[in-house]
Amino acid sequence: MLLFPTLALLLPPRAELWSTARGQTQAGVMTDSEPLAKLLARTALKDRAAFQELFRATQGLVYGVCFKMLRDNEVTEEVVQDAYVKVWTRASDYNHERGSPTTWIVAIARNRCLDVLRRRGVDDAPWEDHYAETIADEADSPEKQAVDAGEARAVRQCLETLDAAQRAAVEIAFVEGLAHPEVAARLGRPLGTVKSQIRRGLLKLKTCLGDELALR
Amino acid sequence: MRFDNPELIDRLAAEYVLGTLRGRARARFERVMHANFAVAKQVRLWESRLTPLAHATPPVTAPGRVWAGIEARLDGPKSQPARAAAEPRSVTFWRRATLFMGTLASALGIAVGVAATAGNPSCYAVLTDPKSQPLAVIFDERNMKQLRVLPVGSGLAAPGATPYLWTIADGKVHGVGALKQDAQTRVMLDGASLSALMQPGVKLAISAEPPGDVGVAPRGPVMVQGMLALLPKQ
Repeated sequence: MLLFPTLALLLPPRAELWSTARGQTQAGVMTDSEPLAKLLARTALKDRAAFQELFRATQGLVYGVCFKMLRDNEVTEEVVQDAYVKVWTRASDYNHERGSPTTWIVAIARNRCLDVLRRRGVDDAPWEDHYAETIADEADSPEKQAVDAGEARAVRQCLETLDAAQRAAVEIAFVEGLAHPEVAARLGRPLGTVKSQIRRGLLKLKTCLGDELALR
Repeated sequence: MRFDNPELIDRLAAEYVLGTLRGRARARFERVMHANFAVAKQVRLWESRLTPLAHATPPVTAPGRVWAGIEARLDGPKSQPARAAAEPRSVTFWRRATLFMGTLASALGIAVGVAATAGNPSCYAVLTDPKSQPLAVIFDERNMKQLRVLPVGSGLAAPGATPYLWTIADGKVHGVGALKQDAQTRVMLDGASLSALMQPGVKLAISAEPPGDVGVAPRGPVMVQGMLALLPKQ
């Protein structure tokens, strides 16, 4: 009986766990994805309030990721909506083999973006046209977004093991959603070279992450 | 392209997730992925490896209309965007539920009065599926330490699965008991269930649980959910 009040003092108050996901004035990240996993579980039970919390905690990252690929605000808004409706519908599919809840949500969003990019074909719009808008938004001190720091660190460290050319090719393909010919054009390299650099880069990541995952 | 080559599948899965697999090759790979569990698993593995690369992306706050758009899609074509500003959700739900209760009671051939006498329920819940179809009604007879669950029509039919009742309160999910698919179930309430029911804003949900022991959270899909509301005084 005496132990309980002491324990209660040691644990962070419940409200604090949620409040880090709500609007804050500092940009930053939560490192603990357990609260998100609970929100996702409640979302699977069709708890709309939990789903809204989940949205708040992840929307900035998802929007940022999609915009970098789609480079169009209107399309990004629609794709982000598509992604979260899918999160709502498929919340019960999530399990932690798929990575953190954030990873699962971002993967859904990226897939939607790639669907759009595939239909769009090679994008001719100059990247710079949309970049100015992005800069303005980033300056707005967005809400803290929830990512699993361990997960992100592991892949970043493994990316460092690639040589510079492989790393550039993999990163730009991933972040901007570029196809092989677009990566080749952007980096000024032959198509065959880029394909081979990406393939080798991915293999290195897989080997490296295999060890990383085992150590975690 | 042959899909019985594990090395090829791995490479395609990686490029699928990265985004460099395009055009007809991507479409074909997607078809294989949807039909083949092992291929889908490879894709998921690559997703868990590569997706965290995105976590360093600077966040960009989504405009407010994005959430409004999501809600509108979840609520279906009959939703009115102004609703969110008009009434708190729980009040709207209660009014609708009360009106419905009367209709449902007559449709089921039970009088709310009769149901009320049996265990003196103070609360009830109408549990609906995502399309707002009512599929179960629950009478909360806490004084008798039980809930009575009535399926509406074939609402709780779940071949090969067991409907199972849960409470959701204060961020926690609590399993209450298994239900019959086609007849009224009296679910006995233990101390933990009684506490859960006392939480403000407690919700009830029924999932279709696969065979085997039920865990601490639903493994099967959620069929219905709803909130407890006070029965009107007779």
